[in-house]
Amino acid sequence: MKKQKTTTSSMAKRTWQKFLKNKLAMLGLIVFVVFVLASLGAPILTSFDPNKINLANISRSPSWTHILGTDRLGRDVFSRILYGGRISIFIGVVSALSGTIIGVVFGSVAGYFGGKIDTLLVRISEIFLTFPQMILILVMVSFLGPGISNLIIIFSVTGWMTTFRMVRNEFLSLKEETYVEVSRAFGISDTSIMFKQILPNTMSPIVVAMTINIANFILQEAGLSFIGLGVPSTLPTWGNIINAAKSVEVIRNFWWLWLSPGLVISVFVLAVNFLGDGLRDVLDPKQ
Amino acid sequence: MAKFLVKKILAMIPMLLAISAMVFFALELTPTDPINYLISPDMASSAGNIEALRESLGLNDPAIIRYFRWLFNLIRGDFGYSIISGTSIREIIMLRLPATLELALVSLVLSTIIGIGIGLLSAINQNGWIDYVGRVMGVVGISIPQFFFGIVVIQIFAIQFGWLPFGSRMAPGQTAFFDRLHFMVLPAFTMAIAMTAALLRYTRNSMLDVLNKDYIKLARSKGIPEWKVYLKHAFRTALRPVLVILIFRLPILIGGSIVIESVFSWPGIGSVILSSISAGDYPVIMVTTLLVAAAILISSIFVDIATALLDPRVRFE
Amino acid sequence: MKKRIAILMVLLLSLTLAACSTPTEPDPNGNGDQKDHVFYVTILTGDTTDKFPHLWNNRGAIFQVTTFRSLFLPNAELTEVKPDLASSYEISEDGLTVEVVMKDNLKWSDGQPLTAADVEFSIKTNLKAAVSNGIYTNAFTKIEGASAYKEGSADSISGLEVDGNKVTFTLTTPVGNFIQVLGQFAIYPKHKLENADPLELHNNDFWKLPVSNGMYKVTEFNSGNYFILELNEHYEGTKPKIEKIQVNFIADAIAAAQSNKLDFYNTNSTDQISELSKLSAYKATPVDILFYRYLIPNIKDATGKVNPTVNDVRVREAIIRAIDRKAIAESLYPSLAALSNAGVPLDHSAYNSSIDGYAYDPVKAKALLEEAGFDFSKTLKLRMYHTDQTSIDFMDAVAYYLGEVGITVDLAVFQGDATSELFQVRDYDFALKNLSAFGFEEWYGEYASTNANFRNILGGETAFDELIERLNASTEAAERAEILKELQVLEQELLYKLPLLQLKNVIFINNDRISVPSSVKFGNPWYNHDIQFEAWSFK
Repeated sequence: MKKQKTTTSSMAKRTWQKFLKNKLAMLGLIVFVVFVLASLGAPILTSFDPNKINLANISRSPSWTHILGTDRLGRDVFSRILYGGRISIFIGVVSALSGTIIGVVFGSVAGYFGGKIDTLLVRISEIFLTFPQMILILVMVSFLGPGISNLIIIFSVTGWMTTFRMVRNEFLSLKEETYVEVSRAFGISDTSIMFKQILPNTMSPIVVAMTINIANFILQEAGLSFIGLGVPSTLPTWGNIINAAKSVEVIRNFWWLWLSPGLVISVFVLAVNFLGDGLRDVLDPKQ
Repeated sequence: MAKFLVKKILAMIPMLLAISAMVFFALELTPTDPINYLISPDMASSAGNIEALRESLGLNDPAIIRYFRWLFNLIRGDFGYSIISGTSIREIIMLRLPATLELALVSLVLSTIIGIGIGLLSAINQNGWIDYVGRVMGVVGISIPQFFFGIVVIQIFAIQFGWLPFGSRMAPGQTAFFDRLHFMVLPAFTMAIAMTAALLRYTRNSMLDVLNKDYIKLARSKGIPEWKVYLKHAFRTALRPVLVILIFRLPILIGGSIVIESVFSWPGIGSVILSSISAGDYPVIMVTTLLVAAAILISSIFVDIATALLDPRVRFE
Repeated sequence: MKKRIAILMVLLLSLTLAACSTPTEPDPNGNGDQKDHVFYVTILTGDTTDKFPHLWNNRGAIFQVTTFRSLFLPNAELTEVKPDLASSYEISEDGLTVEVVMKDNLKWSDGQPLTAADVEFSIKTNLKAAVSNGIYTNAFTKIEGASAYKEGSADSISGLEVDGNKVTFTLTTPVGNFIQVLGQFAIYPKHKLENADPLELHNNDFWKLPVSNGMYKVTEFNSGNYFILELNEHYEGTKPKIEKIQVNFIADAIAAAQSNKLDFYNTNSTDQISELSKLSAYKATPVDILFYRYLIPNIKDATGKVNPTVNDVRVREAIIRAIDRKAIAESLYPSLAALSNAGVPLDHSAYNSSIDGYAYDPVKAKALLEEAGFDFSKTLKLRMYHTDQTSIDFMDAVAYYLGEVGITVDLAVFQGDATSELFQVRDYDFALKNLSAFGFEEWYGEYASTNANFRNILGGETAFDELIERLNASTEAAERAEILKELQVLEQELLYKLPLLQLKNVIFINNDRISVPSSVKFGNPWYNHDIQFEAWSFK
């Protein structure tokens, strides 16, 4: 009953049509694509160097030259947001992807095989959940030094446990369903059962968890820059831009310095989440 | 059941040992020195007596000796003293834990009620206006950086309107719980926003999953009234993954939220953890870390129990 | 059945958690109606919040100068002193004997007599204390027999004699600022701290409710939240008009000001200054203090191992010339920062105008780098321990200017504590450092071969030692100016520190609530000086 044999092409077509109908998801996708393209095409969209300081021209409000104004070192905010998007989106997406892969692989293995390997993996996940992230990050940063790739490693290592637990719990329930028993009786390999039969049925929570992770990592990047542990301040990221504008003085007087990166982060994260929700509705094989 | 619990609790001990060793030796790798931290490089200072203090605190011994000394004292019930402030760690916890507990509990209760409530309504009215509102709320709530949200509500409610205090937990003469309730409004609200949003999303998704299950369709086709389908059949199953998420938030009862506590100068455990990490005050980091770790482990036992209670397919192993 | 037990367990555990959370704190005074007659000050959280800040490190906070006194009360410039716990002093011709006479009938806030024995106790304890400002250690180790006492080979200090209410110090070499240092040094109660471990005195439980000797005493301490100061009935001086001071532990001084819970505040943060200046209630008083902001090069360690990147003095000169310090100062620290070319401020009479001003000159900087054979393919490690945004902006700008002359810069905040990173780990080429100094002795003291910290990055260079010694011993203004001028020439020649800016401090007073006599002059807010607090009043 659950194993509907449909040809992949017609399946994809149906999914796409369903997706088109989901307005929020489409909006999310459009915003996502626009943001990604805008950051990739930053050199076309702006002529300003995001790091070029101009102390004669600091904290200027938006104008035709600087459409989002300049920051407290006279750097063009619009340009910084565009270039910053490259790094921030990259960090968020790559970390979430690798975190999800770790979580899914561990979760399906633990849930499907159970027994000793399950106990071991659960223990590992518990240690990671229990290990205070701050200390882990401090240690890793002192090992590796601050930087983009290190941040991605840290996020992946500290961000796979929720996915793991969900996948494992789903597997624990699903492996007792009849179709798994049937497949097993037919002699289908464990890997195939795990990833081809059971995994698709757990796809929706995974997708939702991953979108939440992308959002989280982009927000966490901001939080880590907040305590000076994120990406070095000389690199523009959305986190660094908004953190450079966190003082009360800026919030009250220079609205363009915090409102634009704040809105960009929020809108982008919103878009990712709507997209994820839409995907969930569409991909769910049970609908 | 009793056997299950005993087994789980016994399993916690090696976990906690492993974590304590990992934290301890991890701290060894960071360049932070609590004794050096005592004197800011902004002030002219002499280093002679600092070395004597290090010696008298036993900090010059090899890490492995210090770890076992620490562990031995802990087993005897001696939590030790903060290197930075000299305060007994037991005292620090007794002082800070109530603050953390009351803030976390209020926001936890608040977010649970709102989050699960709207999440369920959202799923039941899928694609209705409640669903749209719920979904937007759920997304907006997790899309705003917490510290940013905190600063904005301080600006609006504490400074522009002056309705609520801007931070801290109490003022002189307002130390009774209900007298200082207004101090809690902004931090609890800020803390609840993100939690509510996450819960709402999980509840909605999980409920939708269940509503699409065959047995629900079967129940419906049997003519069981809708509300009964929701409450009796769907709700119970849907709550299982939600419970996982919810119970995993319990540790903030012990550990507090570092961001919220620093934005609202709330004197809780979270700010203790933050300051002790930046100062390298390892006795404090060790105990607070273990506390949080224990809280998380106990929560995960709760998850197992709750899963077993709610899902007839899973048994106590 | 089993399930019921399980449910019960879960319920029970949740109830325990809930029960723990019910706070049971008594209401100590219950009167919130006296709000208008409380003087509000703040301590920013992040510091220890369960104790009164001890006074041998930072001394000048308003709640410190109003609770604890020293032997003398300095003026705002910290040059002249008035009697305080002591009534008079006398220094011998050769500067080696100092006689201090205590006032009679002094009392601690608990009614116990305050005598010369407390002074002796405090100085002895300070020599053994772990946390102490260097100005005390530098002065007190010059007392005869102090080193023997410090090392534990003597039970008393031979050069510190107490006779009734008279304390006599015998010094091994003259100490130019001995009396000024005594004007800072807070006297602690012997009867309360006699048995305390001097190494951990700063952490002693005494500070939870200290016995004081100033106008006020601590009457209530609510850990993590606030403490209250009220009049000390044993204070023999003029009774202050303000009867109660509340010191709040808070995260954000601006928010406190906007809620009218801040009567006195000092800061050098440009954000806070610009915000507080906007509130009409606050009157701003800028004060010149010796607060240096400079780059320190990691040249060579104590064993003489050299860091080739910055060892060449031409490279160091190129770096300082590549930075447009004036533009940075004007845009990031408007009206707060002054250029600094040496340890002596430009407008000081002892400033040596013959030294170079390191004017911004990227062309010359580039030429110098090339002349020195600087390896442009290498990344220059620039580090800082400051986490406030203005400092980060400041260093971003510095990094940008260095990039303009072709240097690739890796700028980051230290991960560990500042002192370890700067002087032990030493994984940097240049690091930003601040110094808040009591006198020029401290700025130049950093060059000394004996400086326990700087030895590790300057390789124990002895070039400065003789001049520093002369400066420490000299009391005469003209002679000091001469020595300072020589020091400035030498520091420019060697360029062991790259001076960037000097920052002022701004004191804010809530003018709507508090009236301060016009005769009050404010000085460096980190040090003890007479602010005539007894004459301050509510409007």
